[in-house]
This record gives sequence, C-alpha cells and structure tokens, in this order.
Amino acid sequence: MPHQIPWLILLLPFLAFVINSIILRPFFPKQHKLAGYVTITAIGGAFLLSLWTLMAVMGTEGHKLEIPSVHWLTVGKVNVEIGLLVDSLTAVMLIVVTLVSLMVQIYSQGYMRGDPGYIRYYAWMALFTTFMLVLITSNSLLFMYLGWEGVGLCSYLLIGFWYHGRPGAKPGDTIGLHAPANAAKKAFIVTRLGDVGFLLAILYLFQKTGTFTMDGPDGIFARVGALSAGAVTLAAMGIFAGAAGKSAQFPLHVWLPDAMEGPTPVSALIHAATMVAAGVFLVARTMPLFMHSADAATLVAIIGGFTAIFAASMGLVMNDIKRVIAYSTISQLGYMMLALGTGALAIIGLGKTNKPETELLGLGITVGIFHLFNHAFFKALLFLGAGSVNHATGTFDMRLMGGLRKSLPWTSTLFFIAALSLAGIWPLAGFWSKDEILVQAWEHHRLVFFLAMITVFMTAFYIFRAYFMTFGWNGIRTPLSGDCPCRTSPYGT
Amino acid sequence: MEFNFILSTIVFLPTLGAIVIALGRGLSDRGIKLTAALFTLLAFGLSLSAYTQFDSGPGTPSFQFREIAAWLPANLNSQYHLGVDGLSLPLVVLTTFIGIISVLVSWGINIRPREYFAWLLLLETGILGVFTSLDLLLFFLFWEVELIPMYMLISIWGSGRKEYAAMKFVVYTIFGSALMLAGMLTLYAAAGTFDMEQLAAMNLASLNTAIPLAAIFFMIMMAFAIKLPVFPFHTWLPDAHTNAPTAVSVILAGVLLKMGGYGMIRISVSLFPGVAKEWAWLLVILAIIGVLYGAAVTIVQKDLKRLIAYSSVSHMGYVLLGIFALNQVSLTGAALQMVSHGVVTGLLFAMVGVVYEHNHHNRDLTQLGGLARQMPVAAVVFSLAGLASLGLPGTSGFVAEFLVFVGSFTSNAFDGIQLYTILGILGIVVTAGYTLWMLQRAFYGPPLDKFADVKDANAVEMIAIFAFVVAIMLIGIYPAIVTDVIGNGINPVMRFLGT
Repeated sequence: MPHQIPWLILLLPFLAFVINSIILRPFFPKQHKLAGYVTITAIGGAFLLSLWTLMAVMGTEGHKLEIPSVHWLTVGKVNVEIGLLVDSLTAVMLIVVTLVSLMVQIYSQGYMRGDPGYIRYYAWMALFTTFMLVLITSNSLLFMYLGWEGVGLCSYLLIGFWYHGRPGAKPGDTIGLHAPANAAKKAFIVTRLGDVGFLLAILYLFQKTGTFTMDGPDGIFARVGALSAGAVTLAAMGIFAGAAGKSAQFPLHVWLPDAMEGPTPVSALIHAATMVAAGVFLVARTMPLFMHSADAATLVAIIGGFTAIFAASMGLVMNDIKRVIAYSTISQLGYMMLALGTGALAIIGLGKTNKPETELLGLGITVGIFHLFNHAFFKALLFLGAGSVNHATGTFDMRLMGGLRKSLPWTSTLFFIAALSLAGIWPLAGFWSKDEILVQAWEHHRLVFFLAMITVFMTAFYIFRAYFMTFGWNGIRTPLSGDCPCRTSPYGT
Repeated sequence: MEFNFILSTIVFLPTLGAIVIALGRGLSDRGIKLTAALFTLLAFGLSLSAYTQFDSGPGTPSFQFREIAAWLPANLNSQYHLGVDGLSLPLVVLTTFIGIISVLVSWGINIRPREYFAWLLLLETGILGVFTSLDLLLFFLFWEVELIPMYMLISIWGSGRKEYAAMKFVVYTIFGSALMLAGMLTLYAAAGTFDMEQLAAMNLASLNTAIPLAAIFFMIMMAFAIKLPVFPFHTWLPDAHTNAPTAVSVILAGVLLKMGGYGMIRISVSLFPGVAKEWAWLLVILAIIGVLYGAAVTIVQKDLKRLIAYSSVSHMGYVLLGIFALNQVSLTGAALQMVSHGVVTGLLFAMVGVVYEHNHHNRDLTQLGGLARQMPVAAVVFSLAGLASLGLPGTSGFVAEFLVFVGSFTSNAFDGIQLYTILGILGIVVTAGYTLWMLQRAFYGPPLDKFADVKDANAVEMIAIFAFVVAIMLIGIYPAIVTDVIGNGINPVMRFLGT
C-alpha cells in the first residue's frame, strides 16, 4: 500500500470541510443539500481507504506500517517531526471513526433537514472527523495535541450548534435560550482542565527524553524504560488527566450530560462513539508508559471502576432519555478505562518475559479497545434511536412517552437490540467484551472487579427502564408529530 | 543597482506621508485616506521585500541592511546606526502590516481627518525607529517620538475619559523614559559609546560605573516594564485602550507593547547578561503574577475593550516568562509570542471596533447578545481571534505559547522555574474561560430586537480582518517562516548569555 494513503484519509474530510465552509457556505447558500453529499462522499472515501489500511496492517510483519514523517519546526534543541503511526490499534480506530461518522452523516440528512445551519453543520462534522482522525493516526504527541484540541473545539461548536437557543424555545425561556451556549462553554473549559495535565505530561516527557515522537527507535516508548519509576508515574498521570477530561471520567465527567444540548446525531457521533473514546484511545496509545508504572495503572483502574458504578447510579434516576444514555456512556467509558488499567497491571504482573513488545501491548489494550469498538456501535444506535423518538414525539422526556413500540416498530426493535448488547446479554457483542473485562479485573484487581460486577446489574436496570418507559406500556399514547427518518447503523456482533 | 537605504526608507515613508497629508491643502477627505493607505502600503511592501531578502542561514551576520552615518559631533560617539536582525525584522514587518491595517480600520473617521492621519503615520515612524535603531541615543529619540502622536490621538479622537487616559499614558511613559535616559547616560559615562553592538561586545561588568550595574539594568528595565506592561506597572494600559480610537488600540496592542519586550531582549538581556541571570527569578515571578492576575481581572470585565486590554496583560506575561527563562527556545517563543499577540490582539481590537461602530456605539457586554444573527462574518472572525488568543493548535497563539512553555520548562535559569511554568500553564484554562464567555455574551443567546438593524462588517473592514486571519493561520500552520528568521536574532543573545 502506498504510504500516502493514511495521509489521504486525513485529507479527505478536511477537504470536505474546506469546500463546505469556504465555497458552499458563502457562495451557494441555497444548495445546502450539496454540503451533505460532499461530507458523506469524503467520509465514505475515508472509510474505504481505512478498510484498505486495515488489511494492509494485518498483512504486514509486526502489524505496523512504515510512514515517512514530515519535518515541521526546529528551534534550538526542539525538533518537531510530524509522522503517522499506523498499527493495529490505529487501524481498528480508523474503522470505528470513519464508519460511525459515515452512518451519522447519512442519518443527519434527515434529522437536520430544513435547519438554517445545514451547511455549517456538515462543515463542522467534517472538521470534527478530521481532527479525530489526526488524533488517532499521529505518531507525535504534539500533532496528537492538535487533534485533541481540535476535537474539543468541534465539540464546542457542535454542542453550541443552536447558539441562539434550542429550536422552538420561546422568548422568556431563559434556560432554553441559553442552554446550548452554556453547555458548549462548559464542555470546552472542563476538558481543557484535563488538557493542562496532558500538556504538562508532553512537556515533562520532552524534558526527560528530548522528543515528542512516540514510536520509533528514538521515540518516547523506546526510552521510557530508562526513566525512573517516579518520572513515568508523573507523566502517565498527566496523560490520564487529559484522558479523564475527554472521556468524562470522575471528577471531570460533569460536562457530558449537559453536552446533550447539541443535535442528537452530534451526541451520537461525539458523545458516544468517537470523541469520548479519544481519552480511552490516548491511554491505550501510551500503554508503554502505564505498563512501567503500577501506581498509574492502578489509578486508571480505580477511577474507571468508580466512574462506572457512579455514573450508572446516576443513570438510574434520569427522566430524559438522552441523559440516561449519556450517563450510560460515562459508565461504559469507566469500563474501558478499568479494562486498560487492569490490562496494564496484567503486563506488570507478567514481570520480565521474552515476549515481544507488540504482543505485550496487545495483551494490555485488546480488551479495552474491544469494548470501545462494540460500544461505539451500540451506543450510536441508541442515540440515533433516541433521535428518531424525539423527531416522532417532539420530546426527550420519557415520562411523557410510552407505547411507542406500536408506532415505531423498527426503532423499537433496534433500540432493544442495542440495549441488550449494552446490558451484556449473550450472544451480542456487549457480552463478549464485558465478560473479558470482568475476567481481567478478577485476576488483577479484586476491588475493581466488584465495582464492575455491581455496575453490570445497574446497567441492565437503567437501560431497560428507559426502553420500557419509552416503548413499552400502552397507558399513555404519545401523539406523533413529524416524520421518522429512521436510518440506522449496521450492527454486528 | 545596490539599494542601501531600505531601512531608512521604510522608517521615514510614513513621515513623508504625514507631511504630504499635512501640507496637501487640496486633498479631499477621501484623498487623505488614500494617501495614507498608499504610503503605509509602500512601507509594508518594502518591509516584506526586506524580509524575503534577509539571509537567515547559518553563519550569516546577525545585523543586515545596516546604515551608519555621522549625525552628531564625532566625540559624542553616537551615530545614525540602523540595522535589523532576526529579532527586529519580524517586528518591523508586523509594524508596517499593522500600519496599513490601522489606516483601513480608520476609514470611518470624519472628525479632523487631516490631523488624524498625519499623527497616525508619524506614530508608525516612531515605532519603526525603535525596532531598527542600533544606537542607544537614537533608540531613545524614537522611543520618545511615539509619545506625542499617541497623546493627540487618544485625547482628541478617543471616547469616555480620553484626556485622563492620554495623560496617564504620557505620565507613565515619561517616568520610565526618564529612568531609562539616566541609566543610558550612566552607562555611556563609563563605556564611552552609545553603540549597542560595541556595548554588547564589551564586558560591562568590568566597567567602573558610578552606580552598580544592576541599578542601571533596573533603571532601563523600568521603561520596558511599563511599556510591556509588567505587573504592577500595567494600570495605564486598560485606560488607554478603553478610551483610544480603534486604530490606536490596534497599534497599541499590536506593536507598541512589543517595544517593551523588544527592548528587554535587545538591551536588558543582551547588554547585561550577568545581571539578567541573577535577577531572572524576580522577573519570572512578576511574569506569572501578570499571567494569572491579568487573566483573573479579565474575567470580571464588562466592557469588551477593557476585557481585551486586560487579556493583553496576561499574554504579555508569557513574553516576560519566555525572555527571562533565558533559554533559546523560550526566547524564540517570546519573540514569536510578540508577533502572534500583535496579530491576534490587533484583530480582536479591530473586531471590537467593528462591533462598536455597527451597534450604536455599544460595547457593554451586559447589553450585547445574539449578534451572530446580524453579523455572521464578524462572529466567525471574532471567534477565530478568540481561539487564537486562547492558544488553540493551528493558530499562531499555540505555537508561540508552546515554545515559551517548552523553553521555560526545560530552562535552568534558576531552581524551581518548572513550578512557575506549571502555574503559568494553568493560565490557559482561565483564558479559555473568559474568551468563550466573552464570545457567548456578545454573539450567542437569543437575537435582540434593539440590534435588529445592525449590519455586518463592510468591505474595507473585511479586507483588514481577513488579512489578520491569513497571518494568524499562516504562522499557526507553518511557523518556520518566522521562527527560522527569529533564530538568527536569538543565537547572538545566547552567545552573550554564555550558553
């Protein structure tokens, strides 16, 4: 495979952003449908190239592609190279991001129909996808930070998409008129608090190793073994602070439930499938640091476990269907962190072995990333289902719903399947990944295991509460309003 | 044909323009504006051509386009000595850039335009002279030249408490200048020359000065600290900004403050490396106070212009941190931060001007709201400037602040500088807070009926603001076009510091 292909994956959505924002928005504001087609084509192309990349990675020795890096800046001792790191982790993430993004863009055509900001919406969705792809393909911490902050920016723009107020908010409704802008601001500032930790970790690692490059003979990963345990722990904790901000781990989770102010497809893309996964990805990517520091790994596992049970308990009592799903997201992200933390402990537990580095890494991250992969799809499905329900009923409040199974059979069935998977019912995907997580937790950290086990039951409870309040019971029949753009993402176990 | 007077031409083109405007009785108002635009554009074009001709490869002389002429009695050892290196050249380009922009954003001025544009152009000459002088006496003269136009521009074309603000600005500056002149003369008495290059080559510590070298350092430093401004000498800045006309705010934030940072690197650090090392801890502490205190004060501002003025105090703290971390990377970052802040904050003030002019002269954040509906372009550009100001990667603000952080975090100027750097980095969260809050209150929320007739930026304003946007993105995406040149100016400084 030519090594320009991964760069092209980044470039395609960026081109869509440029076309939408610089050409379509100012010059062809009437041709708004074009914006959707441009973005869908670009992301579809990126998806196909990602498939090609995945196959190429699987067929390569060591599952890693060699891509020459580009020189960006030299100031004194500081030399910044921008390179891509495409290994199996990146390849899987490429598929997740481009596929979920593609489905969301297709769905959005119906959901956003008639919105005055249609072109703006597609421009930002394309930009968001670009930054997410930058984040997962970068081999340089600095370039990754570009994607990281860019994703934060786009979530700010998309959460606050209706910055003049929620659609349909009446004059005098001070909450409704200001909620989207407030939520957007909150999301950016809270995640930025975590970003300071990430930035400090980057600076600290640079001070210790003299480079921003992660992989490679002179990279940070190759030199981490030579650092003192305290230094690695500090750096790993800084990185985890950044990850906790983006992935909404306690105590930086407060922005995510508010972030549901954005259009529902945005919630599906950003707050279920990709952006919040950025933190999990970051921990997985920097696993070589965590596997040199038992303290940091334990911290990740415990924060993850606590977040899982804490957010699940919040999910039990929410009445807004999107908020239930949002808390469920936080809880499931906790699971992933827990899996990565115990994964790192598993590697540390092995002690010195002759196993090659890649195999060890795989051991640490596979379980967590497997859950991330599954979660991305069933959670996107849940959000899109919630969006369809909202379009059909005009509300997100589950107390006003009920009996929708009759009127929305397709949505109901798909929502049910996703809920089963979320609850970890055999034979759906969620079962397999949760099972793996629990086994790993049992072996490496008992406390975390019990947290996770209790959370499993709470998860099943809240998601079926949501399902039955919305679709079950015939008591209250919600009057239907509007049509139902029921496009749904494909689902596989 | 060799053209050897490029610097003098750049410096005095605006003066020539001022003379033409002042004496050209036949010029209409429009003619005055076009003349001003023509002369500033010429200066900008020439400075760009100097920038492309500048040779920043390894082993090249640091000062280029040198001009030396005798202008005072020879026994005074002061010469008309101009030259630019990698440190001053980007600032010269920035000044001429801001020069043409400030003429464009003044297009709506119709009160005594002849005087206004004459003063505006004279001001540009003063600033350009400071960045190009290599002789202390000449430097001081240009430093003072800028005062009179500033006083006139604020007190005649300003708003609010304009006379008070103009007077405060002059008193603060004169106070610093007086100390600087005394310091320079003391130095001259011992060293026998005003030439900066000769002074830098000497070992000043071995001179027998009338007062300790550190005292001279701080006397000269005082003028720069007031100009930058360094906490606690910053209080003139919000007043001057708030009451100045838009173009003057743009110049003030864009380049005038940079005279302070430039002076610190060119004179304080280069001529007194030993003293600078000894006292770096004090100045770094002041820098961090400036960053955090400036940001904290910014949060509570209600006047859009005052808010941005205080944010400048915070951002200039990063310049001071970068300079006195005394490390190649941090100094480069500080120099880049000066350029970047000039463009970013220049744009912010230009945008405040647009919002103010189009909104019935209203810039009170408690009154504004929902303007993104009426002024979509202004909202987008304002947001972009805000994001650059909070250091988003991809904009010039990020590269500059990041280099400052890397440099000061890896610096060994004194023990514990890492701790101060961490405190400084916390400032970026506060910056995000006030920037987004400002954007939300001005542009988001429900559209208001009282602003229903508000128009978006007009064509002349669009040219000005998009020029800024291009500069911000260009430096943000490919900073090497500036940092490679800056490196040529920072290398000699590192030699003086003995590292």
